[in-house]
Amino acid sequence: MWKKRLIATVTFIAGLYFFLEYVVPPMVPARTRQGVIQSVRSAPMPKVAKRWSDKSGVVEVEERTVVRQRIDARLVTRTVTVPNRPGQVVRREGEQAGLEEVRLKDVRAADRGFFLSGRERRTRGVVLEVTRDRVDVGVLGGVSTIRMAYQRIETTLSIPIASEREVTRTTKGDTPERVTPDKLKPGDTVTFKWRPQKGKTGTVSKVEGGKVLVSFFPTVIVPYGRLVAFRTRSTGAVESAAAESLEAGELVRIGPTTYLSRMLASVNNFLTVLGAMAWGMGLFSLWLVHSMNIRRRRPEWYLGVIVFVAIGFGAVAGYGFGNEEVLWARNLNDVVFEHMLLPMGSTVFSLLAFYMASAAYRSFKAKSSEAILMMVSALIIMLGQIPVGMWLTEWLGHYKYVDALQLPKISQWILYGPSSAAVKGMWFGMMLGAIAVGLRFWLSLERGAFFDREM
Amino acid sequence: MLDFLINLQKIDRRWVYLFVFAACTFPFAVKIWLPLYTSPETRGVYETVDKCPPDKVVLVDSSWDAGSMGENKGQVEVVFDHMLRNGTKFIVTAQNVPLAPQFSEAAIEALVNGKYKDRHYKYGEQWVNLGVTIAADYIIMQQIAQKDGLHRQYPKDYRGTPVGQLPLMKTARDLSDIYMIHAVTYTPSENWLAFIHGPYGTPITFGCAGIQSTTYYRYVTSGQINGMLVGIRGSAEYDAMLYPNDMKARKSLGSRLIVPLAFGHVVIILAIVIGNIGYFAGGRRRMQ
Repeated sequence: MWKKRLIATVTFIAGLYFFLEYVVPPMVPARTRQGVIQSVRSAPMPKVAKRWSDKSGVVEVEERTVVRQRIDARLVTRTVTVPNRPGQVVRREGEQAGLEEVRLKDVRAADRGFFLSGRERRTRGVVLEVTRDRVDVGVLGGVSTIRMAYQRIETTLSIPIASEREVTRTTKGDTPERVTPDKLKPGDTVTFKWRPQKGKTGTVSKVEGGKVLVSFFPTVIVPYGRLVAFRTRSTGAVESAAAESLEAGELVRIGPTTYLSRMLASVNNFLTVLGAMAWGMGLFSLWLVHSMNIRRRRPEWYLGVIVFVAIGFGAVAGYGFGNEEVLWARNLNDVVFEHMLLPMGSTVFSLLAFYMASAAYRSFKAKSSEAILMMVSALIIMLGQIPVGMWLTEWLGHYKYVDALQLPKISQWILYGPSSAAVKGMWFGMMLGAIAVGLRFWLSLERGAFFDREM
Repeated sequence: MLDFLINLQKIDRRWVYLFVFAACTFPFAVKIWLPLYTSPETRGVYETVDKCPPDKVVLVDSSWDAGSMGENKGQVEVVFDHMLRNGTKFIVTAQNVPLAPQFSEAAIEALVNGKYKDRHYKYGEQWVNLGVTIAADYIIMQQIAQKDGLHRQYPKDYRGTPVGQLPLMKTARDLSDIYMIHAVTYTPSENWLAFIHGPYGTPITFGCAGIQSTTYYRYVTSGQINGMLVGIRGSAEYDAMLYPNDMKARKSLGSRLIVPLAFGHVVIILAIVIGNIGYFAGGRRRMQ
């Protein structure tokens, strides 16, 4: 019983995670600001945080916290749409200080200044988008400034030149070589094979006082004060943006993140490790199952033999991939992949067209109201996906209010709206089901339709 | 008459096969032009590729082979064409499809030695084909996101040259040097969003089979992918955007197959309609 309760609890938590991660905004709404980045300044402010030596005293390690980015953004309080009358004169902030008068047709996205039009006279803001018939201006509040700082930890290591411990030096375009510290020059990229920086790669910053100073590439970049930024792209879509990639003029939303968003990297890493182990386990399981079948002469045991022969054959053929030195292996590779796999793949896929036509003819019948709804939407989608749909309804484009009835546009609405919503809901259910099934495997409850038999 | 209509739902499937075959091959014999609508998802891919800055490269994950060549080949051809026209440098990779690199290479070579012969593009400078990797896709994605990840994941290119010796790869070392990723395969992996776009914000575009596209529209509406090329239609639309007034310049596989595809669809639609006429006639008979 405890296993069932555990599965229910974990599935509930997974659902809650999904809700918090994807349904609840990634940033705390009340404290999130939307604005246009005014400036990005690089302001390194080094601060020594830690210094230590390894036990032998051979190296000294220094770790510094460096504030790298400072981003100021002003609050955009609203967006104003100005009709695009190309001849109209507006005032724009020029390259130099002050305002210049320009025609509206010369206005581009990210321009700043006063835009004079109707009720929006003396509207000061930043142009967000210019289209044929309108200009969207983000009106700056001008009072609220967001400061965003990112920190990263840099580590420096010093090695005595006289040390005989070798490091691996990588020069651009050459193969790595092992050298002693006395051969290192500033700018060299080195990798350590020994503690405390085993496996890490750094750059020689200077050679002085009988020591070689190596700076490591920053390993940790964390948002300062738990702030995250989302940038609005020119297409209107929103993407998460690293602090380093933000530029002046970009429309961003910056705010404190919800807790779970910060765990994304950890979850991804966990999945990678798990996936790598699953590959190995899968191969082991394959060998175990088929070798057992062969040993015990179970029904259709010869299929196991075919599996092993095919794996061996594929491995030998794969050895010949791009191998110009062993001619027979390359020829075998060509036979297996180009003369067998390739035509077989083409044949199987091309048969699909005929089967699909036959299946649609026989099974697509208007037997119920649901079937009629599905059939009508399928016909609209099919016609909308091919030029025939456009050819049939192209004339509707000449009329102002009925152009949305063109078949490709109706098809697009179905795909972007109802279909997308249905797929999202379906996947939500499937993923929760997958979590529950995964847990059942872990807890040895995999037999039976629904927990009816425990192993 | 009623018997004739009822028999319409009992047409031998071999006739359906024959009509599909005839409809798909007829446009190859007779040149037919049909108007194209440009969908927002195709426009999204075009605009993203068009905005690639000169100091960045585009990564094209071209993981398809003969099975889905009809739909996927055009989707990489048009993007290669666009990038070569703009002078954008690009890297081609493949995941878990052993035959994919040779198809991509053939598509690029055809453009470089044909349409763009006068530009004298060279392998290693303008484009690099890093070949195929057989592993779980998210492991490869995690790898290339690491420092010097491209060099670690792909020590040699498709032709066996150490990547350190290729001029393009000296500047393209990991994900930070990549402007966008165009993933083309029968079913592009959603892990591109979880492992690349989510943590690093790199723009992603997809090229997928038409039948799979309904699963990906949700990512277009959410803005997680910048755009998507859907089947043959996607590449034909992209080609039309590349050459709006020059029909003869549209030479991608998508542009060549869009009319046969349309005729094939028309046969299927007619088959459904005819089948339903027979079904309703049968119902009328039952009511009598």
